[in-house]
Amino acid sequence: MKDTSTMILKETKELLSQGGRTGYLTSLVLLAVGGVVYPLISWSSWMQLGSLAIPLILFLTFQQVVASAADSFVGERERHTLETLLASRMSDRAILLGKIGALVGYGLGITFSLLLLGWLAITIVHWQGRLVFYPLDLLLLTLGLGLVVNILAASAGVLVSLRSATARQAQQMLSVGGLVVTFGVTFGLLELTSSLLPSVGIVLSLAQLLALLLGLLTVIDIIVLTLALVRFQRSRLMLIGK
Amino acid sequence: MNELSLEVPAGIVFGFLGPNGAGKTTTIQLLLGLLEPSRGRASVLGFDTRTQADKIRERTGTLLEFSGLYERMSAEDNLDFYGRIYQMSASERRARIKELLTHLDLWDRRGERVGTWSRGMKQQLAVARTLLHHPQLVFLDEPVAGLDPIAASRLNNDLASLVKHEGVTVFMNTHNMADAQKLADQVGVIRQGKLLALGNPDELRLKQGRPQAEIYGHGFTTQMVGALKHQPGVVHAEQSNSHLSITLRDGSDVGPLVHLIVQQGGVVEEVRRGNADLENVFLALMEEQRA
Repeated sequence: MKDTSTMILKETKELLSQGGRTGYLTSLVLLAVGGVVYPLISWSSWMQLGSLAIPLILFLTFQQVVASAADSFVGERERHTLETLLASRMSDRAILLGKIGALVGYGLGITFSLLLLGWLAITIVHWQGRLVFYPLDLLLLTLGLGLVVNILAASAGVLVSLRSATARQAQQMLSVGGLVVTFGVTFGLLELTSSLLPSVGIVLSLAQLLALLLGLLTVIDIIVLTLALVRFQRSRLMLIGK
Repeated sequence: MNELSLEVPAGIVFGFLGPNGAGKTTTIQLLLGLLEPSRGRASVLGFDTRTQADKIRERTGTLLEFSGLYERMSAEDNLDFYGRIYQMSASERRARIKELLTHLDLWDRRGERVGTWSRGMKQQLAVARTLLHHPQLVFLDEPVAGLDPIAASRLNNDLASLVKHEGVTVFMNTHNMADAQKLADQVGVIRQGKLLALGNPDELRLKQGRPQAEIYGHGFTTQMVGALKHQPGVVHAEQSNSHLSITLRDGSDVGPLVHLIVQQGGVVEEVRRGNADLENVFLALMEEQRA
């Protein structure tokens, strides 16, 4: 556990410094658009976490985490720091879980920031004489979904990064894969809720739909995380690119 | 690796010599359990490299081909991270980082990002990281490769003083004979994964090294060097600046060679005879193996 937290600490430092000024600017733009501009435009539905609020939050988080995850192993190899890390006493599991843990923390930070910024912006600009909060059930489901989406993005990203020869290759694979998963899940759920379930007499509320999605993604998380743990082997990593 | 068998005693600096691609880096990777051998076995500090690699990595420090430093992090953060990896307490880490960085004259620059440093300074910091947790054994893979002569000399001095101060066993890969001669108590010469020689550098020079003759003067020509190479007592001859370097067969006399040079119009001012240095030993071994 201590080794994993050591890795998380180091990975977080690296994540926060990646990209330099451009990286900070990109994050600022993302937070400004997703956390201020869009919530102000659709302020009433945003406060109900309806319409595109949840998909937007999850999509932005997923993309950010996947982009950073692509760099996790292959980037370290390209910067020639991986071999020294593998030559240390740090266990395979601690290295892998530390990297995934830092990415999940980073993603949750984005999810939380988008929700908080949106709430603050709407509260200030559209003040209604009292404090208005997000519906608690939807807020908890959004945070839960944020967690499982981040775990999925981090684990899948790390898994691809483990097997890629270059960071660029990993990023390309994850970009395409990310879009396929995002659109697949979105259209799949739309089809399920608008046609398939009503045809057998089942109508789901938004909260029920999100709970269903949460369960589905949790199962996928377990599979992908297990796969990443099984695939992570020092000797295999040493041979990639040789 | 091909039937490589060697034993390195504790407490010494072992120089593992060989040309590029000889298998030096692979040997270190095998000894650390980073690669699995297809057959054969090795043990480090009494631990099997196949089954107890984690115990080996716990007790060793490693400076591989690249410094392995995180360039976006400060020097202090780099060392702190590795101190945490080796489960040193916060006070232990602070004291040890200060001790090592002060020894290397880097303490005042500990807060700077490593990416802004020169290659020589990065290698110094990597040496500090390697020794941070008081390892019993240190693996160094070409530690001065790519450094300019001043930085290389400084790093060699740092290494020598730290190794002496820490009393650690060192396994050092190098293709630089001068480094090996300066730092190593024992050397092994490897080529294409095969061990060609093993022993103390001085013993190797006496055992494997052929007698040398250095002839100083002027009027030396390439035809003259060619003629020397064809003499029965000569293994190798080359001209560099104002002198000729000749490697002789055992028991050969230098007199007839001087006579030949004078006959062909050369002027001999001084003749020096001596034993080969480690570089000549190395080159002779390479030639023998090639033949």
